[in-house]
Amino acid sequence: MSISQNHFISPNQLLFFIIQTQIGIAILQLPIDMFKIVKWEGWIAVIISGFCLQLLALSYLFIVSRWPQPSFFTLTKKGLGNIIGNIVNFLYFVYFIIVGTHILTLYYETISVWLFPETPKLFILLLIVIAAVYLVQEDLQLIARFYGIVSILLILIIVVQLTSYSAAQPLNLLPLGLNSPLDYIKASTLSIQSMLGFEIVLFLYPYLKGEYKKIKLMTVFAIGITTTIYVFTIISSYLFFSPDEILLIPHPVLYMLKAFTSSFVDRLDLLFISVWIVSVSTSFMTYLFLASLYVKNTLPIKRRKPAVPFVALIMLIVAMQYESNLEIEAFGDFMHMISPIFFLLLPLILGIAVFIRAPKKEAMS
Amino acid sequence: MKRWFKNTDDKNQSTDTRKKPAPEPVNADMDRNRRYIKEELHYSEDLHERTLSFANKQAGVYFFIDSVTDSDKLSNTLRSIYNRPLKNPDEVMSSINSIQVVDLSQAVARLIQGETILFFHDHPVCFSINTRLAIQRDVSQPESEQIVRGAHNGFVENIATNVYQVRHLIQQPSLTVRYEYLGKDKHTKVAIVYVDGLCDMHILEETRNRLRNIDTARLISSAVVEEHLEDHPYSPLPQYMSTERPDRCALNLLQGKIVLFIEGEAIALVLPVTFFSFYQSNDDYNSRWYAGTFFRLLRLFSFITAVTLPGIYIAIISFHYEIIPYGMTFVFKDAVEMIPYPPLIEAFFMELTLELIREAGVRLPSPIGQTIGIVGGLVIGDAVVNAGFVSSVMIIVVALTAISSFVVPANEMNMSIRLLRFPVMIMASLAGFVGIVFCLTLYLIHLCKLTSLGKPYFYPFAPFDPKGIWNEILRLPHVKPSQGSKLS
Repeated sequence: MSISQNHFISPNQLLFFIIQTQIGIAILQLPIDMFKIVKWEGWIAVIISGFCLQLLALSYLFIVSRWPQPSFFTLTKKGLGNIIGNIVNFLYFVYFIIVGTHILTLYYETISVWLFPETPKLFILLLIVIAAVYLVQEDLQLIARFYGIVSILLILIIVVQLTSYSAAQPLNLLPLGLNSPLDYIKASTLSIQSMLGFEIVLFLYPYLKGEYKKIKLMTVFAIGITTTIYVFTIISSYLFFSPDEILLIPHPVLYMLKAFTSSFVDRLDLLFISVWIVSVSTSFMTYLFLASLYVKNTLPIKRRKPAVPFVALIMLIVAMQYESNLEIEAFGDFMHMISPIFFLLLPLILGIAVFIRAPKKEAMS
Repeated sequence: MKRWFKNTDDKNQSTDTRKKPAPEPVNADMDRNRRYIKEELHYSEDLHERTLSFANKQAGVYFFIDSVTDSDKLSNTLRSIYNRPLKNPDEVMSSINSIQVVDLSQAVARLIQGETILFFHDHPVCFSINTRLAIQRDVSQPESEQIVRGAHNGFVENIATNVYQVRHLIQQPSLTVRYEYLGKDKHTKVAIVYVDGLCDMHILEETRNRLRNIDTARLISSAVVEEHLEDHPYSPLPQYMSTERPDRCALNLLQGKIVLFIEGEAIALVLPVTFFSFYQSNDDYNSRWYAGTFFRLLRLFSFITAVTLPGIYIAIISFHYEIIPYGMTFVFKDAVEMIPYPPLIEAFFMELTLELIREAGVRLPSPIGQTIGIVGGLVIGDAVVNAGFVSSVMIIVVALTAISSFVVPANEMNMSIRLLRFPVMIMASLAGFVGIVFCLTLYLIHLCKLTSLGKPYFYPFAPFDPKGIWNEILRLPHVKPSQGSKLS
């Protein structure tokens, strides 16, 4: 019942946290993005990047567990010195804002294309932002509980796609081994972008309660599950559409479901998109949470709650600035360009710094 | 949050200047005693004074209030006093089971409760004899919670009888009863019943603390107690279950819950509860387990339909008509085409009509209530479709929704569900499925947030506990050894 208990989450909850953050916007875009680079072998690239993510996430855990701190932001200050640490923290804050904004813009784009072309952007965005603010104001444990419940919806995402297997063409996936290794690498780096969200282990580690081994296991599981769902989605859309068709279609999964009718529900894509909105909101909520965490750690405020609406407002205002599809695309490219700094470069530097400066005694808790 | 809600009602209420009278010892002078008692009771005319005399010699006086005194008991007691013509009043009184009272203010308090107060001349104490009048009705089956198979008794307005009924079902020494007196004047008696060893002591302590903090001069009913005990008084959802069934209480007590009885009310408050306990009925445990499980799942399904069905209808008609299967398109088109109103107005019109019928029927005697149901349901429904105000599909939707919302076994949850559907309808008319998802997300977050005395309300889904789902959502066979659900 005490308040301090609510700040901690269990390794099982971490599992849902990672899955819900990773699965989001990208599930609609990924099949086509992969196809553009490695044709029908996109799923191989996703598996490769899945493995890379496992390694990355495990090394993150290694870094943060090496020198336990009350929060990631204090770790950067201790590891890199106050000035550089503060700059790095601020960069992360900007990064969270950018990712949050990116999620919002893509969400609006999809909704306006598929459902409501005329509805004002602000209204559509507010729906997701209000829900996010309402949840993120609460303690971490409640956020994790919510993620746990909505993970049940992932089953629906898979089941709905199973309908397409009645028209599957296994030959669409052949021949294999057509692409050069360089293409695979290129495609994998792109698909890592779609699976962003695993980096939250860096920030959540201080709030985890449980054996280190179990934390590692659950992280591996979570990324494994996300990879499986992505691979499944990609394969089902490749099986359904022929290579010629797929290039013409922006959201293969939705088009695929649109083609199917059942006697109860005619447009499965609408069902899918309703579930997908929840997944998108959870991704957005995570970044809102991380950004508010930064504000709490930087400003002299005791609680995280008052920071949440302000951070959400910043994201909303920035997202409102992008009007045309071109701008949104440019914004997305910009995000893809800078994100390796945050999931690769900065953690690497931090890792080196931690290894040099961490006191030996506290190592490997 | 609890704190602000408290103490709001007392500031302007406390014009009532009933104060605890200062202690006043019994006087040797009979007239002073007499005056004191009469003044304290404001010369009320149901206060009676009689003299007590042995062998034509006046020995003392006694007081009683005839409206709360059982005259049979009184005359029996008096007879036994006269039959023992002993010299010493102390001896007489101790032989007939009376209580010595030294303080006159206490004597007045006892008088109000129906006891008789005796004074003897030149004696420094008075005596109180229990002559309380007890009027109560039968322990008949509660109207609002009927079951097909099982016990057919219900609680009454008397704590002792209620505790008796629970003790009758749980004959264990560990069943414990604690009394608390609530309110400014401590005039409301509340019994806290729990099974020691099963119940969480922190929760018990917290409950008692919160009860003691109730500081109001109003009449304390179960709703007042409930709101003071709630963690989230502003939530639309009930956080305590009230029941009139002893077997339901016993079942909950054995699961480690606490039960509160309030003097003068025929209900028991069960706490802490989860969302899913509102969806359990005793019939589940008294029927075959397949049927029990099936009906439980059906009730949970009814929650979803009761909250979302009108919203889904509005969303489909206003935005997503593509989702209707091809074969049904014409059915819908025919029904909806000539309706002059937008779906939201249509839905609100029908939903409000339905609520009106329900509200009108609730308090009427049952023969008239049935007439209202027939007039409202059949006549209005048929006429409204024929007149072309509302589509026939809408009637189906509203009827289904209404039936779903009445499926819930607990009345207070039923009220909440009916309110929850209106925001969904409004959002559905603004943003279709996206709006419904938005509303449901908010509801789900709210359910995750809620706690009942600090225990998570949406257990076993949040926090997720597979074992709890077996026990709370499904109804497993009784012969299977239970794993015992635990709250994490």
